[in-house]
Amino acid sequence: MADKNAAATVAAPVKTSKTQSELGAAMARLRKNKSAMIGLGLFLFLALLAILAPYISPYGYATMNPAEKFQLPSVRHWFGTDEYGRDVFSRILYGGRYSLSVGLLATAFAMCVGVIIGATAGYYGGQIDNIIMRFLDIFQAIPMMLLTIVISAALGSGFDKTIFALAISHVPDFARTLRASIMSMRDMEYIEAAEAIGCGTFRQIVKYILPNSFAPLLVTATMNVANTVLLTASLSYIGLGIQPPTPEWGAMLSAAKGFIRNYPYLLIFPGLFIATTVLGLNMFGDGLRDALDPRLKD
Amino acid sequence: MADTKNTFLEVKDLVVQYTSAGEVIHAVNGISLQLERGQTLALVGETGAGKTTIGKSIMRILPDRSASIKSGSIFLEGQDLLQLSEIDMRKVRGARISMVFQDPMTALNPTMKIGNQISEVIKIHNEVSKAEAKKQAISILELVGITAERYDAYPHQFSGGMKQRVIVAMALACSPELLLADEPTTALDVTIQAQILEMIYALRDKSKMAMILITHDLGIVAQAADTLAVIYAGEILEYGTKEAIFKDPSHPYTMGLFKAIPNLTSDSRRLANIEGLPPDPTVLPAGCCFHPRCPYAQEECRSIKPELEVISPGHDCRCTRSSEIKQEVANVF
Repeated sequence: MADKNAAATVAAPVKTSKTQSELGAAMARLRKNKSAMIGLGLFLFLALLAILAPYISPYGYATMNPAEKFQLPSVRHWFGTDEYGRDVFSRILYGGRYSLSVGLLATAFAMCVGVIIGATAGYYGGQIDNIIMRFLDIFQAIPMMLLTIVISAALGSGFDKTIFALAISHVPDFARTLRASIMSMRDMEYIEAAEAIGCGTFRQIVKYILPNSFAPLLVTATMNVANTVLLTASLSYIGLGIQPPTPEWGAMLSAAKGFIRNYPYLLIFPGLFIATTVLGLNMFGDGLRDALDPRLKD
Repeated sequence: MADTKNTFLEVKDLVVQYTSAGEVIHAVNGISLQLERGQTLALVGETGAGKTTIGKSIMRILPDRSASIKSGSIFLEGQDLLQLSEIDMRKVRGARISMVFQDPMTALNPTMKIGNQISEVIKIHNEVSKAEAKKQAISILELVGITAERYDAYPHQFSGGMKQRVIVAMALACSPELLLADEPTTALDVTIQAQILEMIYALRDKSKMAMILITHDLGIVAQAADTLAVIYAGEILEYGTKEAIFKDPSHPYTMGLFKAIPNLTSDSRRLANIEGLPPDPTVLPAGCCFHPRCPYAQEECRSIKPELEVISPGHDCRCTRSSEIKQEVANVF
């Protein structure tokens, strides 16, 4: 082939030192974003504290000591003690396990279901899309908080049921986000090309459509974890969700609300941890969105 | 021309319509084509004439929601592709028939390594291990002039010409019997165009593959095609061997197209063009579809639809006044 030599010279000068995917490039941009890294650091720090709770907490989370109730923060009890003399610091460490895992698991679950529904609606379009979206409209017509409360009240309280209640109410968000981004790329030529090489529907969705429409979903997921942590706290606050003596941050707030005048630190510490988690995740989510936006490429 | 059993590819009376916002768009209106192994058929026509729709109909990759093949049949070695189930059709796509797409910028998956996109085709159609598929993919990459170390690169790291090489490599990965090249060089600049075309011709001649070349560049047709179909408003206006049509363009539209080619020897300030625009495919004109733009149109052209008639062996033309017009033109000069 006469052309082959010419071609080799075309290809040769472009030596790649490192092959980098679009996602890899986005991650590099993300690493340069200070506030995103601080946000991620905050979240990872809280997660680490929660994971290591059994090793670093000075007392058991349910160990009562009536002789030391309502202690102010001190060297013995960093965050003081509550009305049963339980160490607030230990309870917060353990509480992080529940608050964060509910947030993560509920988001993961909602995302899985949302991806399936959204991908089906976006890929097939037409009548199927119409039916699915109108069904989701019904869900979204109910205020999210109210919906979560209703499901939670119907299912009863507890760790798994709370996750389920929170997940269901967030499914439409994910489904809509994914559907929108699939629709915008449904007519791209490479999807047609995938069909032209003999790809089946499933392969087309998993290998060609999903990887290309995942960016907005990732951002929604990050923000959603923060949102879910807040919702979990709210549920526990009104007595649904996770029940005492399990130390969940929202439940701790709820338990302390009667003592706000005399012992405000009982509210301040769990509140601070909720706020830090949400702040960290939102900072990270914002950074992620910037990193994934191709228009902001430097 | 030939009967269905011995012809490699035969398209018969293909009618394709799109529906958009309640309107019916008549994209392809009764096209019939034949193609033998190792031969190249060029489909020439303006934008929107229905060339790409014909190609996609053969692949059966028209968008399900808006397009439908109303009637006709497409025989590949006597087997009607339009009667195949979707699952059987999947085995044909990419393996027996494959397609080179128009725009290399959008025809590759941005999130997949280019090497994997090629080995994907091989894996779908052959029972091979990952390593074997990769080995084959590398040899095809080298065949189109891309070195093996670029296997792990992503499309955005490639230039347009190199992306088009990858797309050609994808199309050729399973040694197809029929290659549909849909304006394979429109999006590339002239020097790269020549490289890509040379490469496609070389690979075609090596493997005796049949090719349908969709283009509006008559220069490419002169160089590559054996037979030629001039498509206008979803119909064939003139059909025959390249030699016959280039020597003796018989339809006024074809004549107009040839007049629009810049001539290197004459010093003209403006190129001749065909007045007007292609007809609105939602309301096709009655009679001959070309009559609103035809300088030789007469009363009968507005009402009677001409048939595709054999004017000499291997040369068909859809114009009732073809010979008269040729006389007229000859008299002017």
